[in-house]
Amino acid sequence: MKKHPWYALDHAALIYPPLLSDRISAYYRIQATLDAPVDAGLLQAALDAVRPRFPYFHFELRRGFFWYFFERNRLANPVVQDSRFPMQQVPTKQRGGFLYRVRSDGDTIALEMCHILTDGYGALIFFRSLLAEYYRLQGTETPYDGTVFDPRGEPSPEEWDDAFSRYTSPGTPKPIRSQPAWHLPGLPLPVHTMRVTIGETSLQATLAKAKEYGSTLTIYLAAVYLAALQDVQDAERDQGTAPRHTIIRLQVPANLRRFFPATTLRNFSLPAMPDIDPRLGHYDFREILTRVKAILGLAFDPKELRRTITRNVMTTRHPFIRIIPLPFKDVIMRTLYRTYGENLYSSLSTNVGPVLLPGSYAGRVRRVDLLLPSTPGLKTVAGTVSHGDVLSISFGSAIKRNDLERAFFTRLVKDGLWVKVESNLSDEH
Amino acid sequence: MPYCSRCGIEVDEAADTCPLCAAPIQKLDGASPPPGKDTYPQRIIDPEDTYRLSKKERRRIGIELLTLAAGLSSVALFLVDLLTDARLGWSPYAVASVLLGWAVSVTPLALYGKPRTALAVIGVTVLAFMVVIDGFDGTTDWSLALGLPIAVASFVATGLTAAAMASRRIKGINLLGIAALGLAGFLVALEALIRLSRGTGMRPYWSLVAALALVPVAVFLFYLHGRVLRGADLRKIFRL
Repeated sequence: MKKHPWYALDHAALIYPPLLSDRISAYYRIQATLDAPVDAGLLQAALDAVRPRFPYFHFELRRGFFWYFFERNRLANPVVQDSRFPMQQVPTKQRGGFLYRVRSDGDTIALEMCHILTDGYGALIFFRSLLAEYYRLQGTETPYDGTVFDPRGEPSPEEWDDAFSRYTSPGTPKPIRSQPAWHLPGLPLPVHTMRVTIGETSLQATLAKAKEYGSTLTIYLAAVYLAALQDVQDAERDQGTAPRHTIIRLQVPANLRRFFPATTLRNFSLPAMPDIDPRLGHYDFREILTRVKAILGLAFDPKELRRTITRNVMTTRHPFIRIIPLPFKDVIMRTLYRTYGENLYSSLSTNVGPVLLPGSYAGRVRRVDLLLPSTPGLKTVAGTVSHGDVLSISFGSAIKRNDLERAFFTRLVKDGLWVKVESNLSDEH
Repeated sequence: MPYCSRCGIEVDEAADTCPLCAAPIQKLDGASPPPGKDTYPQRIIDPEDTYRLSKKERRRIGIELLTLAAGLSSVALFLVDLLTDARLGWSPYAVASVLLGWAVSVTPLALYGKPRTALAVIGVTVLAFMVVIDGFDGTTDWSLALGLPIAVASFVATGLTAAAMASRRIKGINLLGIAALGLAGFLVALEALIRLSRGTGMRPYWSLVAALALVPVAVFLFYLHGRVLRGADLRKIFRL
């Protein structure tokens, strides 16, 4: 790692750099609310101590002639003050700019990570290790294992492995293409702003409710999300603004390390796309739940996953694709993303599951949130994570209206769950 | 803990309205949020902004760089000319061109926010450039007879065209039509000025041919704008 001055992006990361703009940051955020105000000096010391253990995160993004690449960034990465609108004005394409930043404000520590570097799995390991070091500097020792890295340890080459390349099956047929999906209506919020709406509920109560329906937490939440999208679409139709594409489709990413042996800290996830087609009639909640369960079960099959991995990897290996100069690739990638990417799904909801903080400091963290940034196409997306009995469901939105958030949380309330909601734009509707 | 009676959700103690439906939150008597407690940071400027250059600083640096580049290239041009011929021959022309480029690029930066003043300064600079470059050989024949009048004509045509474009309420392909008419007017003026300087009378010939080709193009563009792209109904406009 030390000898190598530059690295190629992994196959999932290639799509992001051409999309970056003032409205698409490709960052997501993991934030922890502690039981005491954050000591910014100590947090900086913890970050400085942890950094050498994660050399593959200390890069800047550079443009080559044919592809983007990572180059080692030896500048200091200071902890910065948090702001009301997270994940905005990130210096991803600036010279010397890192692809992640650590922020703090009051009792909150946040890690804003660019998806070009890693997915939620890699970011969570970095975040856990950072918190462990922060508390170690306060006198609380944490045993190191595969989920919390020892800052003095040596990074293993597998941590920087492009796992997609290892699980291709050349010759397999391409995945079946979906039809375009319906998208949320709504006027955009001003640039460099976003609405964050966080709902907090009981993990045990929600798990019990999911079990009552005979499903898992991910399936239950995805079904509630689809039902909420259907509520919004119904309200639109009642107002006479009939949507052109009525299929409602949700992107639900999954950690591929659950299906294929890999310890990489780079991107290694793929989505399933449960959907409902309201042209066939209105779906009640149990019908949606049945569909989501069936579709996720079919999509998260190793053979199906290999098929998608192979298509993605082989496309980037195609000689014709490789010789296209980067400025043209940028245009092509942007068009492909719009046409074959977010055009095919209405929104995105990810559940990274329990955050699994070590017992040494888990009790000192009150809540953990996962915030996703939206795009002008998707408009509103959601991220779910749990810590202890606190289940946090966060919506990131780029539009003024918040009827999806309201439909989602009121559905949980009607299901008998206690929900507490807060927003960074609570007085601005 | 306060609840929203419409959504059924619990809200933060500090919240006056529901974050989902904006309904006012009824509070119990005496219940008030702890002072100074905000759930979210109130800063809306990201810290990176503090070490980003302001627009004024960027303009100042731009002027510095352009001035340095113009100065260095002028010195280099003079030196190359002196080295090859041991006297100044062609270099004053090249340096004058460099200085014109410098003035045209620096003026909008120095007079940022004053576009009319900047355009006036650029216009006067261009006219002065022609007189100066013409005067290098000791006479000002072509600049006074042709250069200045043509430049003034082009400024007037550009100004009128821009004013006509700005006056349009709906801007679309009709702007191309206005540009075509502006070009036609300029070509007629150009030929008249050339003929006047040669003493062959002001009656236009080739410019009229060009203008006659441009006017139908403009009419077609206006029609396209009004009829097809803007969806105007000609039956309504020309109703008898």
